[in-house]
Amino acid sequence: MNDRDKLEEINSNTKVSDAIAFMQEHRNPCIEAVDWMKQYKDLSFIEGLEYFLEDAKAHQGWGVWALRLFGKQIGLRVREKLITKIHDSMMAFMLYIKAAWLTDEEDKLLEAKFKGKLPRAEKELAQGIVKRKKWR
Amino acid sequence: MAVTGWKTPGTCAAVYRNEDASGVWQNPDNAKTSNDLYSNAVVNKVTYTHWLRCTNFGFTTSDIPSGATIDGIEVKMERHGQSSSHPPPASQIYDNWLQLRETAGRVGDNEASFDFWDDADEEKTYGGAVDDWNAGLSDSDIRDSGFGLDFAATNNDNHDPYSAYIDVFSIRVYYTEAAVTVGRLVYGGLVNSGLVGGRLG
Repeated sequence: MNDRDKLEEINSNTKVSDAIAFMQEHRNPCIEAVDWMKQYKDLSFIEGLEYFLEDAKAHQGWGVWALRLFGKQIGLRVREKLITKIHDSMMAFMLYIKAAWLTDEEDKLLEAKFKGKLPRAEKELAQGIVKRKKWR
Repeated sequence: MAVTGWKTPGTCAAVYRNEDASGVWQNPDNAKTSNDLYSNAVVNKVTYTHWLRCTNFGFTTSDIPSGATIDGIEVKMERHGQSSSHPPPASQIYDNWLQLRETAGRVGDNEASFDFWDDADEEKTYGGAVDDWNAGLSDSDIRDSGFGLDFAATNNDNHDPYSAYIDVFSIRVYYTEAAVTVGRLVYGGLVNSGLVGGRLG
């Protein structure tokens, strides 16, 4: 079983402790994030995410990281909450560029976080210098 | 329109940004001179650095005459990105924030680009002859020692930290000299006059 196949095995029902073990072996998660996740090691991954959404100490980048790692394996409702937690305009722009699975509604959520705030980056996107994965 | 020469900062400092930021700029003074000595920050995956703040660019009235209108501001950054885990040229570093500042704080547009940094030194320019960054800066603002920029870098990589390296920041300014006053009417009379390059009789 290759790394990608193993990744497919992680889903919303995977125990947080199993997800930590997988990520430590294959995905090099932040030490701080692992320490934080260990509080919820007996929960399912999706249950752990719920705590993430409510914890002000949980880094927005961890959410972006999870979104990029698991993509549409995460349900729409949780994805929306994770996106809502992003407050840095360039982080929102990065996810907008890199995530091919974003729905139109998620596009709008992200656009609201960077439109008008990154004139140069937006121009690069408009001119095709930067291309979205969703459009490819 | 006239343009100044490129000026480099007299002061660079690592400044705390917020708790989400991960990389503190080391050796900030190295961003004052183009000499292949770098200010660098290690950026955790999917996060951004604290501020690298460079000010005191040393513009004087010899560079920008008093009363001149600022038409544009150009910033040049000499930089590269690297990772100990990935071979070149796969830098995953790109800008997070580049904004001008005056003593009171950051002003105008965030001109950050989504252009991934090369693994070897490269120059990148921002702004230009007719781009004032919507900052509304006056000639005296730019001559002030508090004028400069705040910068932060992002690591796009979802797996490993990357390092951002800055060799130097430079700024030049495009301006139009103030119209010359050739006379001043007081109570309907011409009481004072002067003309650059000529003389009123």
